[in-house]
Amino acid sequence: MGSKTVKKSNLVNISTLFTESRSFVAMVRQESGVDEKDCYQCGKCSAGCPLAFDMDYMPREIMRMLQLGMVDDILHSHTIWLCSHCITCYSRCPRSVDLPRIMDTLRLEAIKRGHAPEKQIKLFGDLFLWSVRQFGRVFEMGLIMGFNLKSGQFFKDIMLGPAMLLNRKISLLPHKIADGGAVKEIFDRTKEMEREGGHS
Amino acid sequence: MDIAYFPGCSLHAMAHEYDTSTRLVCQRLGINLYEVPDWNCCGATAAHSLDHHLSVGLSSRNLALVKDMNLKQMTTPCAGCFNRLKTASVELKQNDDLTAEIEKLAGISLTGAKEVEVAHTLQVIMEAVGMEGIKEQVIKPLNGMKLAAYSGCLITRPRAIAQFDDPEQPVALDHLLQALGAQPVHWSHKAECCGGGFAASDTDIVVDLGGQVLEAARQAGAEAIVAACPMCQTNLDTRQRAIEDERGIKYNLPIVYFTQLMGLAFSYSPRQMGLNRLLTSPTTLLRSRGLS
Ligand code: SF4
Ligand code: SF4
Repeated sequence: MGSKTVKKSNLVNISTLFTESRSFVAMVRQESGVDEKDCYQCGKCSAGCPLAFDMDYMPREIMRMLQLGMVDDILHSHTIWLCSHCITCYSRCPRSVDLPRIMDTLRLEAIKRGHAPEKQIKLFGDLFLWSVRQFGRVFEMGLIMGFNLKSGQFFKDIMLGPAMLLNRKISLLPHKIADGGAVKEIFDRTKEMEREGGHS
Repeated sequence: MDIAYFPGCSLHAMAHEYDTSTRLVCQRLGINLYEVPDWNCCGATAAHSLDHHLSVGLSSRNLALVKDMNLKQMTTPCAGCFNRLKTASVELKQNDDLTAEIEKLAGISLTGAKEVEVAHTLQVIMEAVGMEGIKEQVIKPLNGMKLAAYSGCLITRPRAIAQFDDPEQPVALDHLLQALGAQPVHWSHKAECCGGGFAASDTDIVVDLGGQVLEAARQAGAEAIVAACPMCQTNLDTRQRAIEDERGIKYNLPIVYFTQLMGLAFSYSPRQMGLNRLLTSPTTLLRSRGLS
């Protein structure tokens, strides 16, 4: 064994990894305002989470992985995209851990690093915000058409379409607010602030 | 009572009937709604999952507009908008650093916006008018209609922000329906998530979660589900066909807004309340109670 040479590229610098994951966890703590150490792993969050059936890691596991600094696994997980923000977990948590807020923080970090395993959910969010930035309000028809077009599901909801139109549920034209500039500015300055090194 | 009114994007589109019925019912109850001029979208889930400051910023502009109207209170019938507006309002009150950052970001002063109080319309009606006040206006009682009061996720959660009713066992909506002469059923899913946030992006989730809600209501013997949020209503109404196909059960459960039922009991016609716009028709149910 001793004579075997190990290829340098296979070496992992554990101390750097450790520092990286520590600073990641500190960042999440700072941005979300939630201390991951508050969680004592009772599992009440997972037990009541309506989306648990579809998640790759249970909400409790996300908390444990955060405590252990498992950055990559967390940021590649589907769980952070599937949280519907129903706030059941936070209402029940005996340690008042604001899990939905943690999920938001983690999702944002995943986006920054280019991970989005739930492509459709990401696409819908992007188009929704594009609509708000553009018109100041959501343009449902444009949103649905744009989503179907970009997600390649051209005929999705075609059964629903006529009924919705007949019942005049969906308007064909967007409504633009008068001071649209003010809303655009909120969007642009948020982005700027983020580039300048985030919020305090 | 004078109060600023924030309809939100859904009520100006898909949930038009929620908007109309809310306005008429509030008028009857002496709650004067003044729509916030030039309000903008609250950003919903999309904004706060991208950036918390963006979300608070979008809501703050609306709060500042209310202050310009010389009003101190704002209400919205949408549970999603309520969650965003109230979160922003509470955070501005509590966090001066955040307020300063948002002021810079939105380019406006938020001194006045900080004083604005936000409440869901159900809360305003229950607190300003109450059961007795509602009963006084009832002309055509709902005759023991069996209803599943569906509060959903966001009217009562999180507790520290919503400061209304109970996040696990909400009762306000049940009380309101009782005052109208209906019989709210005891059921398990009154505060469960319907998956509405994934209505377009992941229909499997919606069919699964929405299906559980419909099934729970059916098992409790409900004849209709009563919603207080446009996302819940749209979701459970438009996906009902797909859910029925998936489960092989015909639910045929109308999903109605609480304001539509209030209007009916106050003697408005089903058409005035936009009940003809629902995809699952409530006509048979209304006829059985002499309401149509
Ligand atoms: S309910 Fe709270 S304390 Fe329990 S595992 Fe979940 S986050 Fe941790
Ligand atoms: S907020 Fe998210 S993690 Fe918590 S119970 Fe709801 S879906 Fe699950």
